[in-house]
Amino acid sequence: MFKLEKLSKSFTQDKSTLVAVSSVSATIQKGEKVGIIGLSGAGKSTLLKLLSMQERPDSGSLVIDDVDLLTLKGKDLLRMRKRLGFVFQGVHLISQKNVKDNIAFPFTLDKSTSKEIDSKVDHVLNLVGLSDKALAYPNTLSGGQKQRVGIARALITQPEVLLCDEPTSALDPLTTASILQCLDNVHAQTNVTLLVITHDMHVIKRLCDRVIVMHEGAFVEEGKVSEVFNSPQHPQTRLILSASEGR
Amino acid sequence: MNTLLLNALLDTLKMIGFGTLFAFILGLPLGTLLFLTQDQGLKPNKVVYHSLSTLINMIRSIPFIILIIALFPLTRLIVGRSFGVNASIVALVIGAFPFVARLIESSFNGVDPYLIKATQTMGATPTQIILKVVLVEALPSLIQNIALTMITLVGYSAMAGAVGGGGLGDVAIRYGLHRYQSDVMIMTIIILIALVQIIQLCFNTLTQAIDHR
Repeated sequence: MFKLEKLSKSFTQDKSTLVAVSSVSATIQKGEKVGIIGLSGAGKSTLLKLLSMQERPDSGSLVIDDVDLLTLKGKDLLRMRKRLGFVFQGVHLISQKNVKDNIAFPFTLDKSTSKEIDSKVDHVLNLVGLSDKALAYPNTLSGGQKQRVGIARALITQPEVLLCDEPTSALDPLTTASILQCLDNVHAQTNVTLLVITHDMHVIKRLCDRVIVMHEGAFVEEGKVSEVFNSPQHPQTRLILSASEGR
Repeated sequence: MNTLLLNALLDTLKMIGFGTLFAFILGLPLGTLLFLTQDQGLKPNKVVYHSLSTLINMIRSIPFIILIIALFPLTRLIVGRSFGVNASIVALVIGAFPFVARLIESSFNGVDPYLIKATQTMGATPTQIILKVVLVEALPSLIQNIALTMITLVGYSAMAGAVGGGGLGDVAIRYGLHRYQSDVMIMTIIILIALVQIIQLCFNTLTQAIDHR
């Protein structure tokens, strides 16, 4: 179980305070597929920085299996960090390392035998359908293949939660469909919890069971994807839907 | 003339080789420190960054020919005398390491900052980021910068030659200039041109062989 408990973050600049994330809470069960949707400025990026621990929240906690990540330090933190896998919008692979070494990278951050790593890399490459690319370098891969490598790298530590930040917004529609299919396959085979943060309702419709709408730093509406998108309650949800459908 | 030029060439190669080696031994940690402590760095520290940066700019603002002469007391202290190949190496290293530090800083800054952020998110420490990400990603550019340093040192070593430092520059000045032996002068120039071409060619080939971008 993954829990966000009353996470808040504000920034002060020139005596004015901007509340970027305002006391957001959510409980996500193991194996759920949850999307957080919001337009630019809704606070998604700050929320992501809090979840990836690049920024510390002013208050609140981030709980995986009853352990608050924000209270941990050093080795305990590194161990628990591995329970969260990140898929980044721009993938960001090490261009001078081949696919296998890129995927194994999170493992090289602490001691692990190389035999274990090899079989684990094979396993995750299989999951994303790139078994034949282990020795290829990133510059020989297409955008979609790179994103698959990114997904495999996030899966290598067998995380509880796969956190995807706009996983498809740099990709064309066809590649987007294949990446979403890939994430769906990964979920079906590993039952990893998916948490997708995006501005694109199509990604959520295609991938998620549950959606949370974010606006001005707060979670303003949440529920099953079908229900929220068929009968939106909050004005911001309606705005997002009508904008996406071009009405 | 052949023995003369051959010995001078060997001296020049020794100066460039050891000069580059020691300039990197000093410049690599210094450049890494600049990279780490800059404003957007992994360990921002204004005091450290600006002190190092000022020191580097100070040394770099002294014309090399003047730096060599100013360093005579220091070279005498380190190698026992202020002339000859070993004395030149000391001056070359001091003249080149601030330059190398800047090259390293700029090579490291060429690494995708989002890649660095991504690896931080995976829990990499600054040391791990430098060793496993930045050095790996910047390797082709670092190799190009070794070539750039060596070629700069070809020029610097000739200047050292002008004040009794040995090597091809020394020969060109003593025979070509003072004794009006134009043939020696021309041969030195040809050897220097060939040297620079060979260095660049070797390092370009090496970079192409290892670069996967």
